[in-house]
Amino acid sequence: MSVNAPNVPYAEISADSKLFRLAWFFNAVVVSLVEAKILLKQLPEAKADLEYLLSEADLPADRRAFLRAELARFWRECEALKESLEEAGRLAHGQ
Amino acid sequence: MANEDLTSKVMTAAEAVRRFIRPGTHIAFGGFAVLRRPMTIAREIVRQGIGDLFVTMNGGTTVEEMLAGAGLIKWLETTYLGMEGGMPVAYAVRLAIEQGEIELVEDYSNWSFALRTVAARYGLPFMPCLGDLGSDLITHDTFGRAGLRGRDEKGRWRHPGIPPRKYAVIDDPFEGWGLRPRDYRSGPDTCANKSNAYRQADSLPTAYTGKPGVKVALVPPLLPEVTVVRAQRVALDGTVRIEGLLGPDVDQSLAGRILIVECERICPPEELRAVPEHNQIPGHFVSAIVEQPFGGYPTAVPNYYDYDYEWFREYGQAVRGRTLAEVHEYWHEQVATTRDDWDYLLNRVGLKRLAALRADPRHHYNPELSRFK
Amino acid sequence: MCALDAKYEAYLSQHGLTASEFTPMELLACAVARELTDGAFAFVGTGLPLLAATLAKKTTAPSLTIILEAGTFDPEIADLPISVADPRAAFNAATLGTLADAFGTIAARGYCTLGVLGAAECDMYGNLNSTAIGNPLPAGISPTGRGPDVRLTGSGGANSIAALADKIVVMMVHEKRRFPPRVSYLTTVAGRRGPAGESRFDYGLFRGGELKVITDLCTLKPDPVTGILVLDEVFPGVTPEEVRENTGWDLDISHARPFRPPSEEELRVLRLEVDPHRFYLGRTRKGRR
Repeated sequence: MSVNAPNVPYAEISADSKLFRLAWFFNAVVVSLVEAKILLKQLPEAKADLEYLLSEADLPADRRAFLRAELARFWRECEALKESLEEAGRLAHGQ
Repeated sequence: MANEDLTSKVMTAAEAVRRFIRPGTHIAFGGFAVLRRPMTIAREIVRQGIGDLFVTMNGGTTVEEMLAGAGLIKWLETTYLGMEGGMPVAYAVRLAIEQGEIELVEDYSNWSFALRTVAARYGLPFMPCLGDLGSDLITHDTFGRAGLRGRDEKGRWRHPGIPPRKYAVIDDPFEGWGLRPRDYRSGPDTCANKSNAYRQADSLPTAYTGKPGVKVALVPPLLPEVTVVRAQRVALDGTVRIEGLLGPDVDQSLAGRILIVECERICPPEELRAVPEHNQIPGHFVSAIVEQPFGGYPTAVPNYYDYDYEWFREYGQAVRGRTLAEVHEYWHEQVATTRDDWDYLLNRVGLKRLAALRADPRHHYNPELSRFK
Repeated sequence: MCALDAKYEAYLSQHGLTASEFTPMELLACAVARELTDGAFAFVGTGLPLLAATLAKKTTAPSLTIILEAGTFDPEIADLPISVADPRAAFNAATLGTLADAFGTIAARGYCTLGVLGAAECDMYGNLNSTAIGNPLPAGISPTGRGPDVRLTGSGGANSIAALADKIVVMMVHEKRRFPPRVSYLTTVAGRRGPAGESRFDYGLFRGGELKVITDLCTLKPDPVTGILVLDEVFPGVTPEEVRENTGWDLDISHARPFRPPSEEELRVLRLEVDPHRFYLGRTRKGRR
């Protein structure tokens, strides 16, 4: 349900209500990214660890499969987020 | 669920105050010092001139200074009346107490008061406290002296918000077994404190109970008619998410009969329910939701905006040396003459000033905020 | 003597200071910092106590844990907070609790070894008054129909901290009216409680008893037998007689010794790292100096 749906009987839908709610929506997204950004800062170490592990000749098959499955899940979610972020970028740049 | 069910609690500040706050209401405002105070509802109370309030507070005083400044407080339960910005004690509150506009003041400490809200939150008859003992907080009982405690001739509580006793002191039935630091089998206590006089005492104190024992003060719950809190987000179903430091807010908000929540933004329920461990109050406790961006001004709302230090400095200068009547005029002019908080925030304060307070999401505050000119 | 780098030279020149001379506020900050020991869990308020704690942490007490009573645990303070509830006081904290956590989970649970308090009045036993001067009764129950002569902040966390800390440091302005024989309202039991050997433990306070009072003239500590505050260290430029004259009881000055002045290194750290804008250091405190 859209927060800004016109049939939502808010006490007052004024231009100011809409404007500030929108600004605060953008803010909520920005705040929500703080943790993601901090985690993604660890990518270089993760890359090094991943490369090392996958290059190990005697890594058992079940370990390798588990790691690959986690990596695939990670990739899927990052791709999905990338799409949302691009849409956000188009929204911001379009104005 | 129909839209109507979800949004029936959403209302303007004017309506929330009209519906729930009458003269003499026993009311507690959330937040703490310069943090996340529910200024929108408080300013609306000033606009509507609702007086004789019985205000209960744990860590003021931006709200209470304004209410006392507008002459609206009759009784005050308090722990701390300090105010930032150059005045050690909140000016109007101090004058109002000294001159008798605030007729009764009941003092607690931060700890005993916090425990009162914990008792209320958990629906308990009292909570134990190891502080306040030996002090005049226990011996001075304002409401007792004013004849407001206990039952009337018909057997009803004289005032539903005033407990029959301020404290009760008991001897711990567990003989101090749980007090830290204590003895363990595997080694000495790992906590940092080292002193516990009960461990090597030859005899136990007999104060308060008349019998030797381990003294524990019991405090009754805090049970106001209305509690008010400002959260960053509230969902349309009333789910409340506070970001940053909670202070007394979860315990205290749940202590009242009626809870009014003001917020920066009303959001879809899914937004908050996806991470329920970050929510603090479920909607069934909430009676009213008031959306007012920047409404915590001049206090800070983490992740959104910082406090306006200049406001506190300017206020200190504006009231210094003034009479209480002059302070009443100040608040009337500043707040009561505005139409609503949009008017106050965008016209009296101005968007430029508000925007300068915007918080940085990594810090939760504005690290560039100019405070030390 | 530490080397004066260009940055410090510029600072000294800007504020009209020298490397070895100190202002009264700087002296006070250093005196309080000395009481904050390594490994302590110190409850401090904002202002000078926080400055002193930060100075101690950067010099002699690197593993001091600073606790602000809003319920935050172990913040990394990047910008000076003006209140314990200032979001700056929660930055990069380990956990953010509630007020009940500050005094429960942290203090009562055993992590409040030291508290730094201020007060309007301190009596001969180290009882503090931060509630009201003169008649403490509010107008509705007072015989005069008026409220107190001067209403103060109230306990805040002071009473709670003094009930739970092993040691209390009290910061006071040294004037006779602020050091009465007995306080008119007993807000906080920071030392012994009263005469005839009456102890805090008699009232069920099971922690604490160690007390140091630091004023703009000197430091005081309780006599181990009577619990009455006696003169300990005298600040530079102050005589023991002057301290006694400004105390409301006949202060025992027989054990007075000189206070070791702040070192150049203490001052340097205080100035450049702790309060570089002199937000608190630049204030003039009420009192004679």
